Amino acid sequence: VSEIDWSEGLALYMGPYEVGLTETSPETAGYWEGVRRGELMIKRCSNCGRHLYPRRIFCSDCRSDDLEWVKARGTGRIYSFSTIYRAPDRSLEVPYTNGIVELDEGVYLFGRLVGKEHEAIAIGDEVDVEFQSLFPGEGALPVYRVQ
Amino acid sequence: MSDRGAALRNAAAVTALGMHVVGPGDDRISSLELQLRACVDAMNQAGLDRRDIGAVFTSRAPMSYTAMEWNMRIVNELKIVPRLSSEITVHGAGALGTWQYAAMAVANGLIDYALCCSGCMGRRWVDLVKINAAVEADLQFEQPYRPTTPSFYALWAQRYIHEFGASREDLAQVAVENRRWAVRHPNASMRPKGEITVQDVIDSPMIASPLQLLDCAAWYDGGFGSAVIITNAERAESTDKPIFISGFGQCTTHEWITDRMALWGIEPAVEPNLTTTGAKVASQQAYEMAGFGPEDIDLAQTSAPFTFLNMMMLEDLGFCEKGGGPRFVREGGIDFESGLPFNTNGGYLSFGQAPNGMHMAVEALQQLRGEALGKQVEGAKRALVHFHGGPAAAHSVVVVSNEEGLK
Repeated sequence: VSEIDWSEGLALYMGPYEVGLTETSPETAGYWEGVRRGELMIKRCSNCGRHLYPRRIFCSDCRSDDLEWVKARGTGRIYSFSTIYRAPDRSLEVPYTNGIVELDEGVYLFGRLVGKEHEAIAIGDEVDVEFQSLFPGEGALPVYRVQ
Repeated sequence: MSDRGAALRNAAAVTALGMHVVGPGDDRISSLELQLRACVDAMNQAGLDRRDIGAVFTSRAPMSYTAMEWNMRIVNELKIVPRLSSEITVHGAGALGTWQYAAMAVANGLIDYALCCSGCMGRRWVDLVKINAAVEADLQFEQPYRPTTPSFYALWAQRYIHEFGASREDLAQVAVENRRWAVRHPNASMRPKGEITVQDVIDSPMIASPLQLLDCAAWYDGGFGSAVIITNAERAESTDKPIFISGFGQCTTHEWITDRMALWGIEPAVEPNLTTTGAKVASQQAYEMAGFGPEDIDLAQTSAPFTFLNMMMLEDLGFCEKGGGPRFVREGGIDFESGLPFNTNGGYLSFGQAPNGMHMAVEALQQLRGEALGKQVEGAKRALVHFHGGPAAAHSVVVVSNEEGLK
């Protein structure tokens, strides 16, 4: 009989090392290398010019596999957001706000929204990318400063 | 309206419903036992031997029981030798998706009887709050920011409110109506808490803006195991209270919510959006197959774990126009006494969300058989069932009927 105490329920995570999930794989390495340099990298289709989500391997429009990493301008606006008051883990400080931003290039990215009172953040607010470590012992991530 | 899929209209039926429900005070069992007990119950009711079962379809593996291929576990334990079997892995939509594959298999004469099962002991084994966000999140591009499941759905909610102006009171009314059904259902999680008011919802703690506590589903404290036997309409005619599968549809738009915004050029995302879900496409397909529309539905059961999503589903499932949800609710569209019977066991908000649970589908079957455990909708003939999973990522819709001789 297992001696594990299941009475409160246990947090079973995926991982910790899963290629393509938690770990970068060749198609996403350029994004995380950019984060380490302090540059927000997205993909661009060399054939049709469409900007694409960092993970893409084929262009979602013309299906070309000739994609290149390009540095995003790092500016955009909030498409939607949510301020979290109940965190997945009690050790996390609340509140904090995550959202989806639409970059000027037309690519949407998920990230932390900073620099403005949570209650004052609104859809359509303009944002600029920055790089910050959000948690002790973890590397910098792109975060979005709300104007 | 086209009639795509019309050859499958009422071509299959549910002829047995097996159940095993573990409530808050009951002993903990494994999710494997939960589903097996439901499967055996269904086979007993249908009078079938394991050799009669030609197909086994399951939902994805329960979060509380580790298995790479869940259908293999079920087949292995029951010593069934299916000629067609799979996990249906379209997130939470897969549990209802099992009926769709079963219907296709029996309607085409490929097999005689299909067994479909689902269920999970959920929080009795695992911390669902911690793990569910990790299941819903893109682990590389979203999870590093510590999202929660409500906060993903909140992105839809925030945008929906922004574009269509649902008021705090409109959204709260959805929770109030769901609760009114729940207090009359013996298995509903929130039954002991009694009815609630709009003000109760408005006063409840903020979870992930704009969602407050009473905007959110409660995890069902136990397990809801169920299994059905599906056979063709001809065989079903000689069984007791068959429920015919009139039409069905399915639609998947994304795996993770941020990637939903990289989808365009196809319904329901002709333009990138977080306001219209795949339930619109899935329900249109189901209605086309069934040959009738939302105006002919006597009761509807959705898998919406948040108030705003119930409102969006009323739109996407065709009960009102896009953006018309707030007004529909305000004008009594889902009023417990006089509106569309909607989530008649209390829904995810007040019955509770049993992970991998088929409670909404079971409720529809029981209503149409005149065997509702809560308030019976008198004379109900046609029901719509909607299941979904992921952050509104994958949707299954099935419309069922108790009318005989439909074919």
